[in-house]
Formats: sequence, C-alpha cells, structure tokens
Amino acid sequence: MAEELIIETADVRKAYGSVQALAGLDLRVPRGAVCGLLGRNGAGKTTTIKVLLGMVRPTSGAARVFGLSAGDEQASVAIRGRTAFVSEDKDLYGGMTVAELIRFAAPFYPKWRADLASGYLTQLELRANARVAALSRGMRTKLALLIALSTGAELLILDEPTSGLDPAATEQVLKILVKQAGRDGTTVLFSSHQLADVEQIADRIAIVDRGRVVVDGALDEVRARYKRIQLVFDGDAPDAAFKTRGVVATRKQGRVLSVLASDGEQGVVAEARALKPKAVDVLPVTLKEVFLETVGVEN
Amino acid sequence: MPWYKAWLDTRWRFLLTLVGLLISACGIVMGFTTVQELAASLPAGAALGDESLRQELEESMALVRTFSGYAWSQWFSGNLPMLLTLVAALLGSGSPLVKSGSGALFSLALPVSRERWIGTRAGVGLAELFVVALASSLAVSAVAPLVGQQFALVDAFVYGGCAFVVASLYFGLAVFFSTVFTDVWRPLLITCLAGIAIAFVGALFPENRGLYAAMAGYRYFFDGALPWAELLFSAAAAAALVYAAAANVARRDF
Repeated sequence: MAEELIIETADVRKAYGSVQALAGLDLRVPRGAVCGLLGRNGAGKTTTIKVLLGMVRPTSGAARVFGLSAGDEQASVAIRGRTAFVSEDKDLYGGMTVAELIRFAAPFYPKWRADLASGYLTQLELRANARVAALSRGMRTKLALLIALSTGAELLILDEPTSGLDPAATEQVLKILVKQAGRDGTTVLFSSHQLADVEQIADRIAIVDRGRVVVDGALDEVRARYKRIQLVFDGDAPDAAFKTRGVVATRKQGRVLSVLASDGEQGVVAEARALKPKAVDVLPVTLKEVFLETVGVEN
Repeated sequence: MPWYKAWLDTRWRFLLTLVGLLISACGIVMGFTTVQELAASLPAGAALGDESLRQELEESMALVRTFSGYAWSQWFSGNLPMLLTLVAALLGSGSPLVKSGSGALFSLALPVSRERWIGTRAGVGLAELFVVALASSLAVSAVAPLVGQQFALVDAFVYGGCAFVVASLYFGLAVFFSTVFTDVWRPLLITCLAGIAIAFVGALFPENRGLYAAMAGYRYFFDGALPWAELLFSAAAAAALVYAAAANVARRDF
C-alpha cells in the first residue's frame, strides 16, 4: 500500500520580482516522518514552509497538505487547524505574559493538550508570569515550541527550532520532539542549519538548493545510496567526465580523483577502472559531505 | 481569540483617548458659567470696524447665551469632530498582520483567515470609537446639572452618533493604509491629512452640507434634520475601505 503523504508539492515556483525563490520544488513527506529540510541561506526553505502554511501564494505549481490545497484560503485555514508552526524569529505577542499567550492559543485548537502545556512549562523552565517581550531568544524559542507541541496538531512545521538555544536546551528540545513524534505519530518538518540536529532526530531529509529539492529520501537510504569513490593514480589524476548516472561531483587533487555518486557505486567503479587507477576505494559519506557536495560548496 | 488580540493591541489608545475626550467635554461644560459672565460683560453692539467680524461675533454670542447653543458650538461642532478624527486615525492605525515584530507570523499561523483578522480588528476598533464618541457626548448631558443646566440625552446621542458615523470613514482610511504601510505612523499621518483636506473641501459646500457639517450635527441643531446622505456615504465608504483592506491583506505574501 502506498504511504500516505501529509505534504506533497509538485513543481512549485515562487518569484519575488526577478528573484526566483522556488524553482520547481517537489517535496513529499509521508505521515509520521520526521523530515529535516536542509539548505543554504536563501535556498528557499522558509519560502517552502510559508507556501505550505498559506502565508505565501506560489506563482505556479501545486502544494498540498493533508490533501488540501495550501493556496486556497479556506483550505489553508483547515490546514493550519491541524498544523503547529514555530517561525524562524520566534515572533510572538510581546505584550502578553507566558501564561496569557498559552491561554490565548489554546482555544484555536480543538485537540489542545493542557496537560502537555503545563508539563512543558515546568520542564522548559518557563515562568508563567514573565512578559514575552522580556524573554531571551532562547526562552522565546522554548515558549514557541511549548505552544506548538501542546496544540495536538498532526503536523509540526518548525523553522530553525533550535536557533538561539544553548547545547543543553537543544538536546532537551530534540528529545522532546522525538518523544512526541514517536508517541503521537506526529509528522514533523523542520528546517535547520545544524546537520548534527538533523542526523539526531530526522528519519528523512530534503536538501533544497536554489529553490529545488536536490536530495530527498529516508536518511538511511540516502546514506546507503551516496558513496565516495576515491581513485589513486601513479601520476596526476586524469580529467575525467563520468557518464554513469548519479555522479554528483568529481574532484581532482594531485594523484587522487574523488567521485561522489548518488546511485550506488558499482557503475562508477566499473567506469573508473577504465582509467586504470592504482587503487579504487569506496568510502561511506557523512550527511555533511552529501549536503556540501549537492549544494555545490567545496568541502 | 482574534478579538482579544485586537483589544490588547488598542486598549491603551482607547482608554487614553476616552479619558482625554471625557475631560475635554466636561471641561467645556464647566466653562459655561465663565463664558456667560464674559458674554454679559461685553457691551451690546460693541464698536468693531469690520462689519462681517461684528456680525460673526454677534452670531457667536447669540449661540453661547443658551446652554444648548454653547454645548453645540463649543463641543459638538468644535472640539468633538477634530478630536474624534484623531481618535479614529489612532484606533484604525496598525494592522495586526503587517507590522513585523508584533507576532504577525504567529497570528498568520493560527487557523484564522486573514479576512477575519482584519474584520475583527475593524470591529473592535469601531466599537471603541463608538464608545468614545457616545461617552464623550453623553458626558455633556451628565455634567450639565453641575452648572445648573440640562442637555437632552437624545440630542447628545444624535450628535455623538453623527460624529461616530462620519469618523468611521477616517477609521476606514486608517485601517486601509495600515495594510499598505508596515508602521503605525504613516497611516496615522495620512488619515489626519485626509481629515484636514476633507474639512477644507467642506468649506466649498454650503455651511450646512459636507462631511464636517454632518459630523458636527449642523442640520440637526438648526433644523432638527439628520444628514442622511453624508451619514450613508460615510458608512458605505468606511465599509468599502475595510473591505479593500481585507482584500489587500488577502492577496499579500508574508
């Protein structure tokens, strides 16, 4: 049986004047997944999230959440009723106290979990009578997460959820996220620059570059699929253009030719042997390497 | 709920303007005795070189000799229209969805349509404007006995109602410009300038016509008639401006 997709976008494009923020984005997130959305600054992560929440209207293409069109205002309200969101700048109502903001948010969500809200209040060491405007960025992040986690939402969309948190708080928040996703089957889509965070909690990743998804899939599958093939020659490595499908990047450094392959190593190794290298090594790659190579940054 | 957020956003502006207008209205009522004494001390047919100036002074003196004339000329057609224009601009300025750093993204992520946010904000602001207009008008009736006078509650209600309906047009302008600009000050300034412009344009109309005269209840004071055309125009224009503001926000990217 095909897995149920909670998020599905097809060829979504968004232009701001001459700037193409999204250039044919295809993203699929199945129910129950914890999906890390990776990308450089300006790659289109936040625009993707805003399209899914109906805050930004795509120029073309289709974005569906729970099978509903995110571009339709009424459907978008229904989507947001089942989705909790934490924005990148944790922009909350500064004039309210922590307790007031929690009381304010609760009636919007029919499945609001008051027990979770009060539990997280203690666990995250938030003072109920503190004014939101007076909270540090880290504490505002915790409050935004508390509200998001207490909504009883089926989908959590988190834009840089651990930004502004110290390592201990980051660890605490990640554990809470994993626990909640595991217990309630909540689907989580979170963007992050912290590859370690993604590796720690995500079971899927989507790497976005220049408004398109360049890598998408289960994290284990991506790790298994991507391999580095290292060829060592007697003299300087030759200039080689590999024809095998799935070659992401080729780099020459002295006697070593390094190839990153996204579709298994066999084809590349077979083609590489024709170059008569002295040695051929197939090495596993880290998520960081996959990320840096696919977004075109020299490691 | 959205109305609670709208109330939190505007409560201090509302309370400060309410207190300010109540003090102003009561101050004018309490000044009636002093004005009466001044009027009595002026010699009848005082020698003034300019005939039109003399005529104007006599008309003004005739108005302030009765309490109803005094209250109307000093409050309902004097301070109230000007102050209520400012109050409308203040209460309408600042959209809940546009200003950055005010939780706009938090609001947009809630399961509430953008139209409902703008509509609720407009509804709460109009309710506050109504309370300010009515309370400051009814205060004249309430305080009049302190200077030994009476002012009919019905009249105060009519003047306050006229002022409120025309002020709702300025409120609508402020709401609309608040969806165009991201700060509070430009909508406020533009609405006040629009109020001044409308007052100047009003000077081109006959004395008892135009929005300013309608806001002051001019025809009600002299003829007992309500300025229906101006009131309907103001209400329709206010509704159109709030609708345009909602449409503006609906098609916007955040």
